[in-house]
Amino acid sequence: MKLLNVNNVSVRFGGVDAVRNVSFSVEGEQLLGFIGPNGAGKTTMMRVIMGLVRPQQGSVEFQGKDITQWSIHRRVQLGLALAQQIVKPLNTLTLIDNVALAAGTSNMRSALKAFLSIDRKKAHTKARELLEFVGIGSVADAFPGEVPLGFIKRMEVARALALEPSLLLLDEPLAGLNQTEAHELANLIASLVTANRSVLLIEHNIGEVSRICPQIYVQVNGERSMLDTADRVMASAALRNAYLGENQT
Amino acid sequence: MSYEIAVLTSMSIAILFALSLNLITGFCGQVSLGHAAFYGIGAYVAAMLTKAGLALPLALVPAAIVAGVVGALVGMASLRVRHDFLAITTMGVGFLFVGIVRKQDALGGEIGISGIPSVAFGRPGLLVLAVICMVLFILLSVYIQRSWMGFAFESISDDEDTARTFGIDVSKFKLLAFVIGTAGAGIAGGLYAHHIRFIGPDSFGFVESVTVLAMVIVGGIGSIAGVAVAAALLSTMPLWLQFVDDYKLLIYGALIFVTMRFAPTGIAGLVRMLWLKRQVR
Repeated sequence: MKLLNVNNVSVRFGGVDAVRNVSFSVEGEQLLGFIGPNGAGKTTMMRVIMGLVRPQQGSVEFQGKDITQWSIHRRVQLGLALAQQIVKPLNTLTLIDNVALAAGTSNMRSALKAFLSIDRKKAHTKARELLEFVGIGSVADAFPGEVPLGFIKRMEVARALALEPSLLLLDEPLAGLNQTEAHELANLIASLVTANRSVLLIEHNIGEVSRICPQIYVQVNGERSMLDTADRVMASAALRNAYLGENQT
Repeated sequence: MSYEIAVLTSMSIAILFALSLNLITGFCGQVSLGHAAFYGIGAYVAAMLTKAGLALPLALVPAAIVAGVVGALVGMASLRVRHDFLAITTMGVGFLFVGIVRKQDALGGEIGISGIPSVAFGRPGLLVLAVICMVLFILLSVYIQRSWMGFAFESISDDEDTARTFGIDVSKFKLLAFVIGTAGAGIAGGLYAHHIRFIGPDSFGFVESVTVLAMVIVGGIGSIAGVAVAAALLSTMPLWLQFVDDYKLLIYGALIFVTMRFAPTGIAGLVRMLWLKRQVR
């Protein structure tokens, strides 16, 4: 069974088709790269999967359930997590509290449970482990405004991991990072795939995507272009045309 | 002595009222400009019940329930909108309350309800009851702030879209804050009615909503201690200085402006800053 199935999804903003009749799927234990030039509708697609945008047509199935009309929090509870392109840390909380909040999300499943739950130690321990794992354990007690963007991006990954997702959606996690930072974070992302976790990675950094992703899905002008192995995608004329124009070689 | 008792009773009721708004605006980040409506609902419910023979401590329970239920209904309709839209919507609820009460003969219409009975043991009895209610609400606020419910409120207050991506049912928690806060305002209203022993629609108008918002802002949005101190000061200021009572809306409006412009974290933030400076030295 596929972990995620996107079936014939279309999204229109006003008179503009952002996504047109797109279908693709993500399997278990898979790191799938998702690329396309600016305006390809990558982020829109990610937002459809997460429930931030509702499609006008088509459906999204996750773990065998049709979640097209589900609210965001229900999708998260089922096992989806999103690390956003523009990271929005909770600025009044330290990095460790930002991650602990996600780590303790099960305490907030019901109002009564949230009211009766006081202990934050377990969530803090898990949050510290995750911050260590993503390499920023030393600044766990700093506030988001006190650390550079690269650290915030890593915190966002830790925050998404804290939700223990079976599918982690990463929206341009390498954007804004220098080459070394991007390379290190890409290595970290490659290590996130486990038997219980797949990763869908949207990225503009094609070099890093082709390096770490065995398979790549390409979307152009809101439509599916191809889904194949990284080698075949990188060698394809379709990819060159998408990024450089029809008559370029 | 009776003057001091009256002042302390006013103070306790104001602290309870301000903390009830602090739970909505401070903890959960939902601005309400119509909080006095729920204060009024509690006042009318408690006054009518005690006039019918019920003891005030018992009448405060339905006062809280009715205010909380109306708060839930208003919340369900208005919490879908955010920020300034929510402020305008809740302001409309405040006007709606005054408008409806004015036209209801059963609620005393324009004239209001007078002859509200005094509580057992007179003024000292009311003071004890007000202090108990205030302390219980302070304890509830402290507990909520430390619980995961408080953590959820804090994240919603900071950025509700991000809170959603943590799997938090934002609408549910916002509604919950609204229900607890409006129920608290209902209790404060019930106590107020028996303190003044006369209530009319104008006792719960826009001025009262601005007054309680000023207490929360001046004290430091979200700070229990700061809001309690600001509520104690601002509620007694009109008793010390007559002109404050005459120009209430002007003075409280100016206080909100000055605090937001020069010290947005309020009294609590200023105290914290001074404390940190002292630590550094």
